[in-house]
Amino acid sequence: MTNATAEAPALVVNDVWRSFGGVKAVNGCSFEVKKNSITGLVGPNGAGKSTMINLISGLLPVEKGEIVLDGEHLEGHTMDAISRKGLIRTFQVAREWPKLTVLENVLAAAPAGNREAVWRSMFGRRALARQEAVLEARARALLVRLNLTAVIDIPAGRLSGGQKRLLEFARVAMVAPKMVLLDEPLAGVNPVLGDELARAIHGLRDDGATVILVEHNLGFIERNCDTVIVMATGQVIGQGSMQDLRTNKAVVEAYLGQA
Amino acid sequence: MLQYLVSVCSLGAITAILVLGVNVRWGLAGELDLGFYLFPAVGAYIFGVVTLPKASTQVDVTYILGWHQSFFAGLLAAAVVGGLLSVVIGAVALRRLRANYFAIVTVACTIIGYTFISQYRPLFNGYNGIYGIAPPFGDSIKLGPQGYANFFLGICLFAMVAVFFVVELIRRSPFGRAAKAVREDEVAALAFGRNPYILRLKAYVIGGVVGAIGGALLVNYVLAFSPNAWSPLETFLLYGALLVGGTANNLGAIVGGWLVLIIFPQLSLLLPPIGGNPDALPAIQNMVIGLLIILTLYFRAAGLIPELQTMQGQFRTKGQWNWSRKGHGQVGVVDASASV
Repeated sequence: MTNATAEAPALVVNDVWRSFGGVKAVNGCSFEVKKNSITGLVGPNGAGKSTMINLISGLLPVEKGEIVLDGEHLEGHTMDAISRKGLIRTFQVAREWPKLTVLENVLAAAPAGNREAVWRSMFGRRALARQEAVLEARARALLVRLNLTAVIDIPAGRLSGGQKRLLEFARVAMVAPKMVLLDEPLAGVNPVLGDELARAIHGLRDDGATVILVEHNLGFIERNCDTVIVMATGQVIGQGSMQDLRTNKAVVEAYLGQA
Repeated sequence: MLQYLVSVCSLGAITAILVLGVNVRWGLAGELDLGFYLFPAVGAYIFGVVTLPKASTQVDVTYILGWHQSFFAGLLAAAVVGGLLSVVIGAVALRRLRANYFAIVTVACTIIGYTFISQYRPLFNGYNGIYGIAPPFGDSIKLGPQGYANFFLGICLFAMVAVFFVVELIRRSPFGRAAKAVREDEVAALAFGRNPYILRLKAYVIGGVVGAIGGALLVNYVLAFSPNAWSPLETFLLYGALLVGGTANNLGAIVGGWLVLIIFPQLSLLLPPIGGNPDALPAIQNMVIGLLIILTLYFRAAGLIPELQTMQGQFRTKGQWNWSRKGHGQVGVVDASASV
């Protein structure tokens, strides 16, 4: 226990507030996420999970409170800036770029560096080609890992729902992020593919990322997460292993009760 | 007949450049710019006032500058001013992420620009416009009228090919890929660390520079330029050409420009005059172009030459560098197989 607390957490959320009109979606939410863990974020509908994810990733501005990734404050930064700090999120619906090929989708997700400067499309093309070659090799390797080799050169819009999910993981892995927020990755995915996604999630962790997983499938959460955070009415009401949470009265009343 | 054909082809090359400019903004970056023609117009005016002598030499004509500079200086000035104007308008219009907001702002800017240029005479001589632009290199090369027309066609075709080459390089580059990603889903682009505002602004500026260059060539073709020459309808016609040719495909832009705005109107000249009304034919042409757009969107929404959705011809230096070229090429093979 002392070891775990001695290591600085990957993410600290401290007293974060956000309301929409009069509705308090997130009110005074605080939690910490251990480095290189897979942490589940669960709770009933309307608990504020999605809002929390949107606040951390910068899609929504924080009203009050702080969010710290690896010692760096995220609150007040835009989504793209937060992404460049190494925090990548996915969405409940897979958001591929439909007219780019699968390979291009992965390449376009890689950190831009200065490759995307306009002048580089005309000058110093050989050096650019070398950089792109290295990235392409990595992208191809990732697509092999995720069983997407057969569709590598077709527009991503033509993929099946499950393949789009896998492509999302390839894009995330391409960034080699510090932290990944997965917003209901199992939505609309069959159970067989669920196992494949679980492997992909563990793959991200093995590559060094810390993973936060928002999911309604508690079985999947229990099988794959080291620790689980339960939210209800915009606050954290419990944190621990799934087993601990089953004996937590507040959690059982608010969320697990019927189960 | 030959002289006529050469003249029409010069206009075709210039028109194709304008459609390529629209294609950078709308095709590549997905910016529905309904005020595009402001940029060719400004390019034409700037070219005019940079190459014309001082306005004071003529009676009742006023315009700024009058530097009496060369063709290339005029072209450069047009491109620079077109780019700067794009930065200013784009910075405002693209600020909000919503596409309809952008479209309205571009229309508003064009209306403001149109009205201002028409009414404020000291700038570009108001509604009468500028005229008397000397044919480029007219003094330095000695050619007969036909020889000169051929030479000018050469300039226009060269410019068209050069512009095509540049925008094609841009489309194939990582920048082009990022611009397309923003076009396809900008929230996803944000999530992967791209700044859609900056990427869109860059595409907007490139489109504006291309448009201004096209406008500068256009004023060399017509040798005069006034607000009559650029009603809001012109932008619509350019979009019609691009939609029919193939949005987001540079070759499609060129084909569409020639087909819809040059070949098709020329063919319709063969029709017998209608009711002795000289205005009827252009009106009918515009109506038919509108009909062509609707039919294209209905039956072949991607246009005659649709956007390439493969890596074919995508950014490469020499052929397939990722597999064949020594050294770096091998990385791809080894990595891919090692991590299976």
